Amino acid sequence: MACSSNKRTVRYFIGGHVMVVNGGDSVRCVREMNGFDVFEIGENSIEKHDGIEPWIVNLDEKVLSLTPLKKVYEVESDGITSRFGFRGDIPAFEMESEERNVRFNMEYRGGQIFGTSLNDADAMRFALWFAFNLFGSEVGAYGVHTSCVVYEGQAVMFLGESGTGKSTHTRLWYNNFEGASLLNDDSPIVSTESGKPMVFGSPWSGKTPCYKTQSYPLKAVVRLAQAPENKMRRLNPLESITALFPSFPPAFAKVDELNGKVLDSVSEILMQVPVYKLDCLPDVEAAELSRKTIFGK
Amino acid sequence: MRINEKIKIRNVAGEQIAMLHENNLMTRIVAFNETALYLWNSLSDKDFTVDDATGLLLERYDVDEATARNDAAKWVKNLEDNGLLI
Repeated sequence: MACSSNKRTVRYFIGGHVMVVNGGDSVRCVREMNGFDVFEIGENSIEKHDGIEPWIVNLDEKVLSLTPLKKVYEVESDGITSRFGFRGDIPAFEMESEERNVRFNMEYRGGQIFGTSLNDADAMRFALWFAFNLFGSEVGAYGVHTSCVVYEGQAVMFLGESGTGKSTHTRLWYNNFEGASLLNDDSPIVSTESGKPMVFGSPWSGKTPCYKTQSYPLKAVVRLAQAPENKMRRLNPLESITALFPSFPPAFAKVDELNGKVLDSVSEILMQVPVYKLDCLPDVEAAELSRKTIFGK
Repeated sequence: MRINEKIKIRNVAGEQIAMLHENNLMTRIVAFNETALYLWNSLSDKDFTVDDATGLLLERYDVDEATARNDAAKWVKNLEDNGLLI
C-alpha cells in the first residue's frame, strides 16, 4: 500500500488505447477504485503498446479558466451534478456536489485533458469515462450503455433504459448457456477503428463488478422492452438508428460536430451488424429466443 | 419561406436523416426519401415558395402539375411540422 500511494502517474490500456492519468491525489483516487487495476499497465510494458498515441489526462491543476461554461448538457447522478459544454470553443466538463464536497472541472485542449484534482471515487469514475469519450470521439471509440454478453467468441449488446432488464436478460444467458459470459454490465467500449465493430471490456461496469480486458467482434445489437410475452424481430435501418443511437454518450448528441462523429460510428455498426427488438419477460425462454434468433440455435 | 440551415442531413447506414433535439430527453429523427432530399438540396440557401418546389418536381419527375403541386405542398407541410423551416 505505502509504496503505491505516492505514484504521480498511472497508465491504463482500455478499449485499445493507452490512457495516462497524471496528478498525485487523483492517481491515488483512481488506484483505490474497483475495476481499474486490471487495466493498469506498467511503464515497462510500454513497448507492447508502442505506436499508440497515449491519451493524457492531467488532473492536478489548481485552477482552470474562469470563463463561464456554455452548457449543452447536464445530468445528475449519485448526488453529483455534471455539466458538459464549452468555454469559448474548448470542450469542458464540470462536476459539483456540495454534500460530497466535489468541485471539479476539466477541459479538452491541445489533444489532452486538463482538470483539477479529484478525490471522490464516483466522480472520478464518471470523469474518466467522459474523458475517454472525448478522446474516443476523435477515433470512433465510445462507451456505450449496454449489458453485453460473449457467446461463441462474439459479443451481443443488450440495450434499454435503466430498469428495463438488460442485466436480468444477460444473466439468463450466462447462467443457462454453456460458454456464455458477461463482458460488461454498463459501459463497454465499442470501437469501429479497425473497420469491424469491436466491443472491449472496460472499468465502467455499473453495479456488477465485471472488469475484463478482452475484446470481441460485435455480433448483434438487441433493444429490450418489457412485455407480457416474448417476441423478437429484426429492425429496419431507420428503426435501428433509433434503437442504437440513444445508448451512445447522450451529452454528445447536443453538439453538432460530436453528434456527426457518433452517427458515423452508428452508421458503420449498422452497415455490418443486425439490430433487433426484443419484447420480453424476465424468463429463460426470452434468452432462448434471443439466442436462437441471433445464433440460429 | 426558407430552409433552416442549421439542420444538417446525414447519411446513416443509407438513411438520409436530420436529428432534432427537442429537449434533454427527446430527439426527433426525420428521414428523407430521395424526392424530399432533392427538394431540400435544391432549395437550401434561398427563399422559396410552393411554386418553386412544384417546378422542381415537374423538372425531374414525369408527373402532372396537380400531383406535383400536391406533393410539394405536402413536403412543405412536413418541414413546417418538424420545425425545419424558418
